Amino acid sequence: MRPQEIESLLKNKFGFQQAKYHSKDHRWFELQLPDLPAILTKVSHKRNDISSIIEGKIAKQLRVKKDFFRGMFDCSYNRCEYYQKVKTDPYPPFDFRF
Amino acid sequence: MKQLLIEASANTLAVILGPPNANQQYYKGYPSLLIKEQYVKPSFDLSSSKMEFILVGNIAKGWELIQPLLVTLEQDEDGYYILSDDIFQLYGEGETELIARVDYITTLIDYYHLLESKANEGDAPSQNLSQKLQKYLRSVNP
Repeated sequence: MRPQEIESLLKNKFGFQQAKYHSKDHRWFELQLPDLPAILTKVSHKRNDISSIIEGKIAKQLRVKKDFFRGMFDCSYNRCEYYQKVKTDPYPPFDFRF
Repeated sequence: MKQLLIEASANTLAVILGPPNANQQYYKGYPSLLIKEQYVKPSFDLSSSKMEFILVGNIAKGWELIQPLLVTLEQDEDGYYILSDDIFQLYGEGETELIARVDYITTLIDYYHLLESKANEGDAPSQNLSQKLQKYLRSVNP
């Protein structure tokens, strides 16, 4: 999976926006859903392909398990299903370990 | 999984806390973690294991971790180092452990600014999360 593909799907399919704040090193994307903290994810451009471990890290930032994350990108899940998942069964939960 | 306690500061890449002799013995196989102000690419193999560190103290110019933050170092199939935490779900990566560490710290500071920005917009859940982050990370006068 390429970083550009992830960015494109986040924006076009799942309604993320590129964050106004950005550092020179990272590009951040954000999604604001009602009654939830902003979902913030960083897409790394250090390599052409995202490794499996990084996939898992991005999945957690999106509050879903890796299998669901992959489903988001192979068209198994649409925007509504993703939003529903984050609202009802986020992984990890937003208060995880606080 | 081994657990190391280190303090990263602006001038010191890694300082191991605790009794020196015990640490010298315990960290014998991890020379990069014993060297101050000089970084040596670690020689240990992380392909089959993860290592946990605790970051605390001055992590960058003007930034201080006021509460220890547990991070995990691992290596992916391409040999890249990945440093991440399980509290804020942040990660940094790089060709060396040092680059991954710097990338992680940059990410943590980015995240602070992003949440602060959302909190300033009046978003209550983000304000709550921002306050939790501020229990760990704070901006200090450099």
